[in-house]
Amino acid sequence: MALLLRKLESKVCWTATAEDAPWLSTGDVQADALKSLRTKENALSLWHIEDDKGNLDQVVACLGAARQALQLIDYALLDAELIEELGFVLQRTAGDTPSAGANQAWHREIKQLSVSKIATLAHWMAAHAEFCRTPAKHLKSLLRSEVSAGRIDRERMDQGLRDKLSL
Amino acid sequence: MSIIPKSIGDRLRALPSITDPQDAEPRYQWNSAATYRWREEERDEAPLPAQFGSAFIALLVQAIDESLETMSLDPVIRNKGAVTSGLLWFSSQAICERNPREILLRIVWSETGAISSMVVRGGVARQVRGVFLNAREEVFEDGMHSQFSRSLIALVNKYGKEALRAISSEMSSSSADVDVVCEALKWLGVMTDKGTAEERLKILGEYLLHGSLRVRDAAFCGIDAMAVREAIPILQEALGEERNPSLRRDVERLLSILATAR
Repeated sequence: MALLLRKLESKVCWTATAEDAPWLSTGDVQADALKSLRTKENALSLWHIEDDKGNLDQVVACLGAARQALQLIDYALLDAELIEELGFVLQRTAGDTPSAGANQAWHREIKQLSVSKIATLAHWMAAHAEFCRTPAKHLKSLLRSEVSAGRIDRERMDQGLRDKLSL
Repeated sequence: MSIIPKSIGDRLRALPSITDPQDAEPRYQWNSAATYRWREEERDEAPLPAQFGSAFIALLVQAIDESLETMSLDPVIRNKGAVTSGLLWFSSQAICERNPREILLRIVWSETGAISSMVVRGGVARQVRGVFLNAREEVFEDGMHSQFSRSLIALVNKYGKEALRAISSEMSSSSADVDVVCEALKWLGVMTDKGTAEERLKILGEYLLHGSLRVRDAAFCGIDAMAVREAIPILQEALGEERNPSLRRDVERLLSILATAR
């Protein structure tokens, strides 16, 4: 089962319980969750994750390499088939991270998104997605490993982040 | 809405635009937000021209002194490298109308436009308050610097524990914006100032027991970024209190990582 990874601003909006947000109706999603579904030209950026999750660490690393701070990364994993069954059309496009290989091989977009489609996706994600977090310490090892393997271009990384990683 | 006090704004508006003979457009001009600015693409590179120097600054300083009000010159705090070109950039987030007298900067230029002195009046607490107030207008992006994060780091690097006391006080004030508090917690963990590590961890630990899940999660992000074994007792205490299953798992996982870390 192929998966899709969507980077989240924070998974906390998606994982709050009724105790945390008693004002929220059952099955509904906090509006702040939409910060994690910010579109660009009505397209939403996602990453293809292979059936065995063999490329998951590489994708997480390339997302981490595109940032300026070494902080934990939150993301959601979605079932790609179910996303397509919902009527969302996935297109292969180039990503924009310091990993050229990942950008070409695994970046996807859902295009022509409307407000109602995003709301549908948000509700579907709240019910079906797996919400994950990669700690900063783990991310640090991933980044070092991916840079030393030549899969992430250190020259394209933020200088402050490189300093933190001693790269 | 003008963001500069009328008393200052009227004086500044009376200044002429400065036009480069090679250029059709004025290089320095008032924009609709009543900010005296130069063209966006030149913000980082253009040095202040000599003719823009002492007369303007003298008037500016006089206007600020006379009004006893405030304006926020953000790049001064944010980035020392931007001082020569960015000093006259009055942020659209200037705090003057919302909270006068918080920050008062006296800037004196020489004839060549170089800064000869800069005095910040008002103390660290007022500077911190200004930074927090300005941040309310910002949109934060996870893992990316903002004007707020840069200012916060600069203040802690410069003033150390005194800045942290002011930051802690600002975060606990009733008027604190929760988005800004969360962002501050994340960056308190990311910043690398060793002299304040213990105090930063203490603040993060306090917020790990906060009533709001969002705030607790942001504090956790900060502690996760610090990734120090000294956080273990703090995380253990939080684990005893935490009721959100997802955050509990995160705390447990970080505890496990730190316990085995060399």
